[in-house]
Amino acid sequence: MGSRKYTWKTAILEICMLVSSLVIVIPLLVVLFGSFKTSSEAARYNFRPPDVWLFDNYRQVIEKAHLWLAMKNSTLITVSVVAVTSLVCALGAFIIGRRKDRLSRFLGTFFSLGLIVPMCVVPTILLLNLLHINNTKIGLILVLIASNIAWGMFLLTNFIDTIPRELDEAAFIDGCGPLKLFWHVILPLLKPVLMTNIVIVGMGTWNDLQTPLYLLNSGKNITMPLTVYNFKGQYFSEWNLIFADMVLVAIPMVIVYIVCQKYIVAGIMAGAVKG
Amino acid sequence: MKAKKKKCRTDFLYPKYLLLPVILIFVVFFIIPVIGGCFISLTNWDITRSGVRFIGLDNYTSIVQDSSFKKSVVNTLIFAISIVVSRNVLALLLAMIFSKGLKTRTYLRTIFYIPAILSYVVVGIMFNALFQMDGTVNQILNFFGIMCRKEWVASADTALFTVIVEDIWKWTGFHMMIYIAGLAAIPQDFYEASRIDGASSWKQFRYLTLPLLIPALTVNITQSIIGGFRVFEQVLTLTKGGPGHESTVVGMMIYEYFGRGFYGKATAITMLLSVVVVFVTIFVRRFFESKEVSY
Repeated sequence: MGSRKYTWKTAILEICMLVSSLVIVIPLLVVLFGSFKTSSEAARYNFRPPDVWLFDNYRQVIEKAHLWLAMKNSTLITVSVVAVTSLVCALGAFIIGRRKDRLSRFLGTFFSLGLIVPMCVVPTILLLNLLHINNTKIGLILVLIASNIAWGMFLLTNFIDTIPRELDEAAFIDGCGPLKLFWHVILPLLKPVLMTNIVIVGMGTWNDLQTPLYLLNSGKNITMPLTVYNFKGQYFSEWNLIFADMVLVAIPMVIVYIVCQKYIVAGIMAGAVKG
Repeated sequence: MKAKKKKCRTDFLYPKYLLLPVILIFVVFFIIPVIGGCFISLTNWDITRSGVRFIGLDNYTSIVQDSSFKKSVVNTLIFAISIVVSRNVLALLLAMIFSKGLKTRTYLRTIFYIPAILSYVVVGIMFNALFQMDGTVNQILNFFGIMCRKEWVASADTALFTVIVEDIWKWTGFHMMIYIAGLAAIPQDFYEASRIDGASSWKQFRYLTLPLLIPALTVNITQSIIGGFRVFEQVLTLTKGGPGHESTVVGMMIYEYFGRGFYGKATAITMLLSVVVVFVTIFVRRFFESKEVSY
């Protein structure tokens, strides 16, 4: 495709695309610039840079919305969900991908239910109550792992097929049992696709509003997206602080996106080709 | 035959017990709640009641008579159809423009994908600011000489529209990336061959690009249909279903019934939604599988 000639038609298309990218950029600027403005200036909702840059907005919102606590909680929740999901899915995908029997075909369909069916809130809360982990981070983490398993299994099972079986046999001859084979041979080879899984599950978990909204109601377990939601409800006129909170929710994901772009694209490709 | 023999010989390297962790977590924290939901949806459980008993399908019959639920179903359908069409048409259009060899395509691709990595709460509240009476959208309209003082989010006739716009803004870039991947997988020779045969660009698109894009289309359309039916966070963070119930959706009704303590009814709605989503998804997949081609 690179060999195509760059004609004036392409140039016009390019200009049109650059202009239409403003549809994405302008709203982001309203938020970003707004987060440094005074509350009355921010409530003008324009995308001019602030007259005076008020970095103090961030200090204020971190204090008022308990953002340190939320950041700690969100990080802990995201890291746990990502780690456990990746490990159990890698193990599961390894077995399902290698055994091509009826059980693994059934399980493939079974797990894909998780991509389609929405979470069933009331029985989930009832279950967490029975296990005495309602309203706790651990309860939320377990539910989030379960809801990410479908995607993880889908992604990893497709990838296992690309690792040659001969490696397994060679490892076996060298005296590896199943677990050793998984840990020393399969897992290192899964690294690129695991990265994709980590990035995509991590972003979904960090950004999730619905699950913590339903499952957590105590202040000490608050997550980053919840702080924005609550803060907006409480201080609805302080747009500068709301914007600052939104920026703080988004920034970690933007960094991850920029650093890990190739893994995200790889994940999307995997989805696009295999369906 | 040979492959089969080999499989039997090495199956002991892949013991089933290693499946236990993933199955256990999935079954306990996902499947059991769904099964439990079937039962809870048949009970009169609500926050004020002490004795919970089975009441058959009463929840279902009372829900379908609820006028705000009817409104939410209509809105969900409008929302789902609008976003499936708009997300995909726009994304495919953008992806095809990208394949023309733009110089800034890396920059553009990065920008268009950014909304997909943002939380709904960020996007929702951002659109709240954009669609205020003196918000950014009206400012831009005024700049181009269209005087507009509309309260987009709070007006009955435009509230759902703002949610649709928000959703399209958030997800078009994501679908675009899948279409770019799908287009890149089509060999260039096919286009050259068809050009030599004298195919017009419409014919090229209709008989070459589109059929070969079926895998990407399947993913994109199923994803957007599932997203369309399960819509919740978009509405919660932007209009909260208001004004009144004008922009409410099924996911919002679950939240409302749950918040008012009608656990049986909230679960019944979840069950209805699940059944519909599963059937529609299966139907769409079947439809596209039958259309799949390879040259």
